[in-house]
Amino acid sequence: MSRLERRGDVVWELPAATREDMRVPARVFGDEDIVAEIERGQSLEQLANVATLPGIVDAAIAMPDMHQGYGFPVGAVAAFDPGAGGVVSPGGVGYDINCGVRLLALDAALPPERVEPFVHELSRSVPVGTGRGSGLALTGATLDRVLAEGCPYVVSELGAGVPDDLAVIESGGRLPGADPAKVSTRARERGRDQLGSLGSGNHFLEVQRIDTVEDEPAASVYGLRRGETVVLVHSGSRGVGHQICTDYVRLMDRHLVEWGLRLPDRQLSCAPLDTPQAGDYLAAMAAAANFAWSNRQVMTHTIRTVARRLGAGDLRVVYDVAHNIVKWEEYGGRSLAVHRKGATRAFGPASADIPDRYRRVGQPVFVPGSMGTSSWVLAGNDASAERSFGSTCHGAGRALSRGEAKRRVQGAELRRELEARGITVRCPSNAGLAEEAPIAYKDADRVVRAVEDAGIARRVARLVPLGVLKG
Amino acid sequence: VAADREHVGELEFVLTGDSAAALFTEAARLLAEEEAPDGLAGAPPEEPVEIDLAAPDLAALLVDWINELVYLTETTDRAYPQAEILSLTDGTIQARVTPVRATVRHAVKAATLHGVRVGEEGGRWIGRVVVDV
Repeated sequence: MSRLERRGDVVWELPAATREDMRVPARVFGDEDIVAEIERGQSLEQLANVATLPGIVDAAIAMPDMHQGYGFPVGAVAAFDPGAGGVVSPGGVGYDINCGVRLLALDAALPPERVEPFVHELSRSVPVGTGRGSGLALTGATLDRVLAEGCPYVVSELGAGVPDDLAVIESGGRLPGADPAKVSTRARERGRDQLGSLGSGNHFLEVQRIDTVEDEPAASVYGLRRGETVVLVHSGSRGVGHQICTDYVRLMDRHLVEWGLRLPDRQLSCAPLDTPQAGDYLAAMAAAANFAWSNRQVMTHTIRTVARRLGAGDLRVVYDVAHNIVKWEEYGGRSLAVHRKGATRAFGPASADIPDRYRRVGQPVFVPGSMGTSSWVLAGNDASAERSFGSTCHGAGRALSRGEAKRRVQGAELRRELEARGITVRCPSNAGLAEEAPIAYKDADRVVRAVEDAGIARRVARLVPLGVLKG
Repeated sequence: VAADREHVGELEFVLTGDSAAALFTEAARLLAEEEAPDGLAGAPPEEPVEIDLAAPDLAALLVDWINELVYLTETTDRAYPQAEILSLTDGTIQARVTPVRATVRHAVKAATLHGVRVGEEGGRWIGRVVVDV
């Protein structure tokens, strides 16, 4: 299937007429090289599949970091209108509900000789997720409150963090409508002792240096100065979210005939937004989102404790963004269910939904690069509201499968290479390290230039790694 | 014989065998190997666990089967490489799986319905399942 027609410097579309079942075009942001790579893979067909879903508005949208996923591609945004038969799709959020990124700033430069001890102590203190009992063990009642109330509860009742943290977390760290009663016993079992743990796969914690500042006014508003040290945390809702997605994909798959839905891919399993099943999923998904924000909040508490113990100073939360989520947002006078699957909200200064302290410049967005390469801080633009449902990219985007990465890279060699470059590495598995090798990913610098050229976010600061902790 | 095939973002299990039941046992073995990459040799078997599942078709049943094993792996911190299939129809399975103690990394989040296929081709049974890692 091809192929994309150019609509602007970095805007491309697969017209709705490409396939009989597409209701809207599939739109891709990217430069020519990025688009050529996308066209060689499976992700464009997956994006076209999303464009067939009932009630989809405007276009199925892909960010330049799009890559092959299941059902929805990773790096996709789609909005659905409940008044036009719109649906919610658990697979359009993914198994790691509210997988996201949080940036902490030290507001000082950690001396080079203190980086390795800091990363080492973090590796001893932040559970990475292998084995049971790796996080806080919660009673049923406490877990219910985490699911229902998210970060405000974790801060006020569990003492993890300070109230000011809540002002700089997307949605205040609590998504409305969460209902623990819609979360299965199995999901609770999987998450019961995982709060405050990193998890495996592509989840990581990096100690970084602010290498360059591209937008001084925005960096100043975010409190980021060249040479200072920050910590980037990438994790999600752990087993809670995985099981909720499993439960609701299965449930909706069994109702598709009843709802008259024919799908090009069974993993697009979905429910009309006006059905009880859709409401139940949204309530459970919100609970998982709250667990994920709480998870990053508890890890923040642990990281702060380590930093204080080592005399490194205090860490300030810069912001926390979700990149696997459905949210109700207003566009063109309509309330739409905006699915972001591997995409980040990127609201501009005009939005009332961003912290007051950032209203002059727009919402911070964090784009992790691959391990050992640069990551980016971006700022949201108002233009994103009309171009991408207020969204931008979420990472560099995978270019190689995990198997191919392991064939090309020896984990032990990569570890030595990173350490030779002065990057401290703590990862229990060489195979896991190889799977996340830099060559397995697209060039993050290129991805962020594309979203800047598209006007949906702008570059603020570039971060380079000093130390990596991987699950 | 089972093998994993390339998927850019995730992992695809490609299963082959001389019966539908063989696909389910191979799926269990492959999942255990993915979850315990340091190996299972010498790991002592523990008390078997009974599994009883129902689904609308064989493909969905294979997905449910893997998800059941993912759930067991995560909540017991054991790998489940051995499965004895007691009965299998197009929509039901009864099986006995044997846990072994191992260092489990909980890499697999779930099995998906994306492109899932189970069927006979050229006298062999073939199954394909993408798992989220």
